[in-house]
Amino acid sequence: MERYKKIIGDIALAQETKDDIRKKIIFSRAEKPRTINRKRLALVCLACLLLTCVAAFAINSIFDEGYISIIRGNSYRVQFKDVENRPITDFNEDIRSFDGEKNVVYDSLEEAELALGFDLITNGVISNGTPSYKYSLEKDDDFNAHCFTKYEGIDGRLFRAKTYASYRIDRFHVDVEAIVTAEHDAIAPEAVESYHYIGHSFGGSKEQELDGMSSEEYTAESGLPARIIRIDWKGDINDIWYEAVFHTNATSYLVRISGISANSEDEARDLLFDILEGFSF
Amino acid sequence: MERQAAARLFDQFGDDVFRLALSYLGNRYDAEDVCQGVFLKLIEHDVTISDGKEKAFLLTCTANECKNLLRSFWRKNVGELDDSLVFESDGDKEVWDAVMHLPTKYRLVVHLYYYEGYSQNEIADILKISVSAVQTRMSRAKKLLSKELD
Repeated sequence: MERYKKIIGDIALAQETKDDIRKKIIFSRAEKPRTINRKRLALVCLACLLLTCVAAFAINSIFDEGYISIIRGNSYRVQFKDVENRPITDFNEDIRSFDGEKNVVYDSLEEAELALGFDLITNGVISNGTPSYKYSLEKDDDFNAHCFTKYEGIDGRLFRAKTYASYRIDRFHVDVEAIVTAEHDAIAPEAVESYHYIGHSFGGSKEQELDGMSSEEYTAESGLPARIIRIDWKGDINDIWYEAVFHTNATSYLVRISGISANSEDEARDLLFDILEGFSF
Repeated sequence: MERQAAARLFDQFGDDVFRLALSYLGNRYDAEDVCQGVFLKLIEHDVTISDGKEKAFLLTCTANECKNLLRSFWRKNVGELDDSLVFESDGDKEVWDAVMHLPTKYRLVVHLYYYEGYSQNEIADILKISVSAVQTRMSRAKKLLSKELD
C-alpha cells in the first residue's frame, strides 16, 4: 500500500480552490437564531403545493392514457402509447408528438437512449447497477426545487412510479417523495403502507449507523394521520433528520427535513408540522 | 470557532481533509465541497476543539460529511466517476482503481491506516466504531485488494 500512500499524497487541493475556500471561511458568518417570517411561510405554502403537485403529476402523467414504458430485461423494451402532450420534454421531438401505440425492442442501452434522446440511467428511469450515473437539474436560486419520476413496469404495464422533489426552506433541506401505484398483480395494496417506513431510510446496513430513532403518531387538522420519525445518525454535529411518512389514495408519501443544526431541531420539527398541516388532496 | 482560527486549521489540515474525502468519494469535486463544508461548519456551529485533537476531529467530521453526502437523496441519483485525476503510470492508476472499487467503509479505514498512519484504536475513535469492526474492515479490504491487484 506504499503506492497508494504515494498516489494520494501527491494529490492536493488546487491553489485556486484553496484560495476560494479560504475566502469563504474568512467571510462566513456564524449561524444566527432564526425567526419565522413571511418569506418562510410563503415557502411552506409552496412546499405544500409542490407536494400535492408531485402526487398529481405522477398519477396523471403515468397512469392516465398516455405513457412511455421502458422495461429492462435482456433487451430494452419501450412501449409508447398516446405520448402526445405528455410532460416528457426530455425525449426526442418525434417521440413527444407520437400519437398511437407501438412497441420497440432495443438490443442495448445505447441504442435505446439514442432513439429516445434521453439518458435513461442519468434520469433514474432505469438502473444498470453501475455506480456511474448522473442527473443534472435545473435550479432556481430562490426556490430550489427539482422533480423527476421513476417508472417501474412489468409485462409492458406500469405499476409503480416514484416522484421526487427536493428544495430548501431557509437553511433546511426538504425532500418529498411520492410512490404512486396502479392496480397490478405485482403489487399488493397493503404494501403501499410500508414503502416509506423503515425500509426507505434504513435499507441495507444503515441501521448500524444510527444512534437512535424514535417515532410518534401525528394527526393533522385535516385528519391526515402521519408517522413522525426522528433519526439520529451517528457521530456528527449536523446529523438529525425528521421525516413524516403517510399514505393515502394508493400513494405513499415521505417528507424529510434535514440540514438540522444542534440548536434548530425544534424549528425543523415545527416546519415538518407546518408542511403536514398545509397538505391537502 | 473564530474565522481566523478556522482558516488556520484549513491551512494546516485542508489537504488532509480533502484527501480523506477524495479517498471516500472518489471524486475531486465532491471532495472539495466536503472539505469546504467541514471548515465552514466549524464557524457556523461555533465548534470548540481540544488542543492536539484538531486533525482527528476534522477527519471525523469529514467522514461524517462524506457519509451524509452519500446517503443524501440526490447523491443516490447523482454520481460520476472522476476522470480529472492524472496518474504517473498505469500501475498507479491500477492501484487507485483497486482502492476506489472497495466498498466505501473499507476505503475509509484503508486511507486512515495506510496514508494517515493511525492505529486501529485511533481509527475506531475517529470513525466511532469498535476496534473489532476496524480489524474486520481492514482484513476484508486487504483480501479484496489482493484479489483485485493479482
